[in-house]
Amino acid sequence: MYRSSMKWCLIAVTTVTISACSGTPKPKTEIALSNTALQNAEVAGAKDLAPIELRTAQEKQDLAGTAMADKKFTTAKQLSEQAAVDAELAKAKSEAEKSRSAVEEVEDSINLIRAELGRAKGQ
Amino acid sequence: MKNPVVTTMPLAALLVLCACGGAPKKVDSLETARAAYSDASANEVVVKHAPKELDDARNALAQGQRAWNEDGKRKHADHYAYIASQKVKIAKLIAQRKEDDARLESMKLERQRVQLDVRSQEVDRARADTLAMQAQLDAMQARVTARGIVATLGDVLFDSGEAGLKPTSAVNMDKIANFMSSYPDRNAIVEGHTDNMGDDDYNLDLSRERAASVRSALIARGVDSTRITIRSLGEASPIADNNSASGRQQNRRVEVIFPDDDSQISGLVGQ
Repeated sequence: MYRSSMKWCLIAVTTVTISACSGTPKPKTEIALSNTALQNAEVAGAKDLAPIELRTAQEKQDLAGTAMADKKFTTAKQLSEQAAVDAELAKAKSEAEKSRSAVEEVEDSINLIRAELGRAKGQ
Repeated sequence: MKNPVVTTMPLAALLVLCACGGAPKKVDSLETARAAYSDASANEVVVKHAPKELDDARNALAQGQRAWNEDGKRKHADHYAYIASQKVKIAKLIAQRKEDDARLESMKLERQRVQLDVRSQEVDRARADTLAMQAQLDAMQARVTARGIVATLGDVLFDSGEAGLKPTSAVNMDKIANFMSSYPDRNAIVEGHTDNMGDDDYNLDLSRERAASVRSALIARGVDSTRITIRSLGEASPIADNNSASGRQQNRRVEVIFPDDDSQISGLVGQ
């Protein structure tokens, strides 16, 4: 019984592997999505606020393009999926930084006003 | 053995057959990503603000585990682990941003409140200043006129027909000196006047000398001499009818004027 299961297992895995190798579609959607994600990151100010994350995303996108040209579609798909998530990270980091510094600015101005108040009261 | 049976077999069934050994095998990258996901999904704040990104991470972990079970290829498992861990980072950053945005709103309100405090404090201070000045003006019996603040020193304060100040004038002099000490940016023009009895030159001299007496008295009380200019108008500027005794007495006066701006003083030469 065990041996028969193992044989089925091997046949199944082989079938799956073969069908994975032949006819992997071109990851056009994934490449388009990562392009959009990169643009969104730039719009969010990632060039200044998350340059390292943005560069990582760009580099992977470039590598995805190379893989596409070499017809390595699985690699291209994975690279562009990673580029997309890296760009998303760059955008999220930029926006978090913008909000943080907006809060800091208001905090600083409150402290300044309070100091004025304190000085005036002392007079 | 018919192959069609194999090719139409659903994936779930394949997984069951392949898991002959027992529990799914673990791979470092997925386990690390899984730990990060667990942490983040246990954080209420992250769950509240970035449920979608956490879902994406969870899906990536599931895909990664499936891929690892199926083909044992580290490259594919690592890929999904990477996606999952990046999504977790993104979820945390989104949560941070949204918390800060909420905080910003409440802090802006706080700032408004503090600004109002400052303003109401300024109003209180201005009001107090006005009351204080009004009190001093009342004490001097000064009026606010178009020329500025005017305090009048009547004839009774001077020796009759003379320039010297009587001892009773001391209180008036004190009050004027006090005022000038409280308001160091207000300077004085001391203007002497007479009635129309006697000749013009005599009246000019008398009015000048009386103004000078007032000036000296103020200097003696510590007022800086550069703050006081004198002017003598003699009989030229009566305020009452010289035909009656009381009118003449009113005209015999010295006015201490505090102009609203110093340009009214600068044209004068100290006499």
